[in-house]
Parts: sequence; C-alpha cells; structure tokens
Amino acid sequence: MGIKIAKAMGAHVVAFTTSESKFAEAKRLGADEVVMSKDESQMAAFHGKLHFILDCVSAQHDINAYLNLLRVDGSLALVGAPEHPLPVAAFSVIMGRKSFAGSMIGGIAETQEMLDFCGKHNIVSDIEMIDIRQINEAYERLLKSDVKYRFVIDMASLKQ
Amino acid sequence: MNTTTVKAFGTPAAEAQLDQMGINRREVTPHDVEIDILYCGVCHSDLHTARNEWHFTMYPCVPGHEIVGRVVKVGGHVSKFKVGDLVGVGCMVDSCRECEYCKEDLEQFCEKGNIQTYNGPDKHLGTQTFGGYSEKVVVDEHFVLRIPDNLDAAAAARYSAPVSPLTPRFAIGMLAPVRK
Repeated sequence: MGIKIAKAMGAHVVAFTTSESKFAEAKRLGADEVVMSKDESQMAAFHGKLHFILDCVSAQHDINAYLNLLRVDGSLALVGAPEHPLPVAAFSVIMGRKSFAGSMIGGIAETQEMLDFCGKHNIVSDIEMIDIRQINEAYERLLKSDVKYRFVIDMASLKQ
Repeated sequence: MNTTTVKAFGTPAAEAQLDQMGINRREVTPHDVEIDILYCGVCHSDLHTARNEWHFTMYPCVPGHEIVGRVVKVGGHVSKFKVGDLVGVGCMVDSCRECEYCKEDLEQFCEKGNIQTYNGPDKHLGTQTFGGYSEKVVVDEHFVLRIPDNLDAAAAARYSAPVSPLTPRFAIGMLAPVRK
C-alpha cells in the first residue's frame, strides 16, 4: 500500500528488499526502482538522495544504512515493530540534520482523508478472500508470510 | 441497555482455535450507527491478541479491526450516515473526545486511551469490546468511516483500519519537500 499511495502522490518511489524474488512484484505495485538492500554498491547509489523513507521492517535491520540514504533534512519513519532496540549512530542523524521518527495508526479525520485519496486514485489492496471457517488455517499461513497481501473474510460465510 | 445476540467467530482461551460463538451488540444510542458487516480484514494483531501474545487479552476474544459493511440502522442524532451507506470501522471505536489530542483529531493518542475495536473496555456493556469477525457492530458515528463508492469493498477492508501504517498526514508530510 505504501508504494501505491506514494506513487499516486507523485513521488519517485524506490523500493528496498532483501529478496530478489520481490523485484518484479515491487515494480508491479508501482515502484520506479528496486534496490537489493544487501548489495552495498546498489545502496551506495542512493546515498544522500532520498527525502523520506517509510520503514516497514519488523525484524532486526541496519537502520544506519538507511539513514545514510536520506538527503539533508530527510526523515525515516519506522512503522514496523522489531522486537529488539535498533542502534542509531549519532553521525547518521547529526550529519545532514536528519530525523528518525515513528508512526502507527491515524486519527479518524486522517483516516477518512486517506480513504478519500484512495477513492480518488482508485487504490485498493491486493487481497485473498477467505471463508470465516478458514480463519485458523489463515493464521497459520500468516505466520509463514504465505499471503499476498491481506486475508479478508467474506462475512456472508458466517451467516451460512 | 437492550442488546441483541449476533453470530461471531472468536476464541475462549489463548490455546483454543477460533470457533463460532454468540456475542451481544447494543441497541443504537442516539449517536450510534449499526453496521451489517460484509468483510473484515485479518491483521497480525488479531492473531497476537487471540493467542494472548501481548499478555492483556480478555476472553472470550472476537478479533477484527478492518471492518467494511453497510449501515442498517442509525440513532436519532446521527448526521454523517444514513441507512445503506458503505462504511468502515478501524482500530478505534471510542475515545474521551475532550483531551487536547482528541480535540486535534488525534484520537489515537487520547490521554485516557482510545477504546480499541476489540479487547478494549466497552463503556456501554461493561464487557470487553468485540471486533469485526461478526455479523454486526454498533459504533458511535464519529468513529465510522465513509468508504468511497468506487472502491472494491473487500479490498477496502484491509485499510479501513490500521489503514495501512501510512497515515495521510504522514504521506503528505513525506512529499512536502518534493513539492517545494
């Protein structure tokens, strides 16, 4: 959703991934460029280039490698929730007056604004519809990241 | 307070599978909207809560905070919605509406704590709140969202809620430097 919304807002979108298998998928969602984050030379090409980074990673990752990609006054917003603290090097933020921020859900007015924006640009999520009786199985698949990208329960199945 | 029993899917304990159960929904009060639930997205928080992985689950637990449905009844003072409207409900169903943050449309940061759509304290019924894995939900109109008519309702369910982590203000802020 981040890629789709950022693209609709007019951004040049660069997606970062640790897995080459996601390259085509990121492009399909609208990314202009895709970077293999484990490849230092690919990362180096974006040093000091980005205005904003939306960090959705919920696992351990090198936050400094990403802060280095921001322009002066750029910000990185973390919306993932890694279990352990992420060490931020002072020089990653003081050189270039950068911000390391966080966010979670929006307020009601913001959320309505987001929905209206998605309506205007016809942005929807990619989902897999399930019957309510498949919910326990869906939880197991969720644990294996075996869903692109969201399970949605068809609640008519509860009435049957 | 009058209530109606509706079908839901939930769990009586952390170790149990989710199964069908009955839960109570309140009659609409003057500012409430009653919603017939069409779709509900599945969030990883649902799983964490159903299995008590965050250690504050109240049982029975009916998860679901990415709700899309149709309005089937409105209270006497409801002004934002009418019967038949396609609407959404996200993570929150109430907050104090009086604190600094609530007044700034930042209910998620309510000083008294926002009331979560499930596993929160339901001030009307005195139980825990029950989420969207159910036939119906009754919510104060302030916490109900309009779903644009042109969007696919099922796909909208995924983001009517935590509404993707990318809140609009955030997204707009992120592009402000580009616009200069």
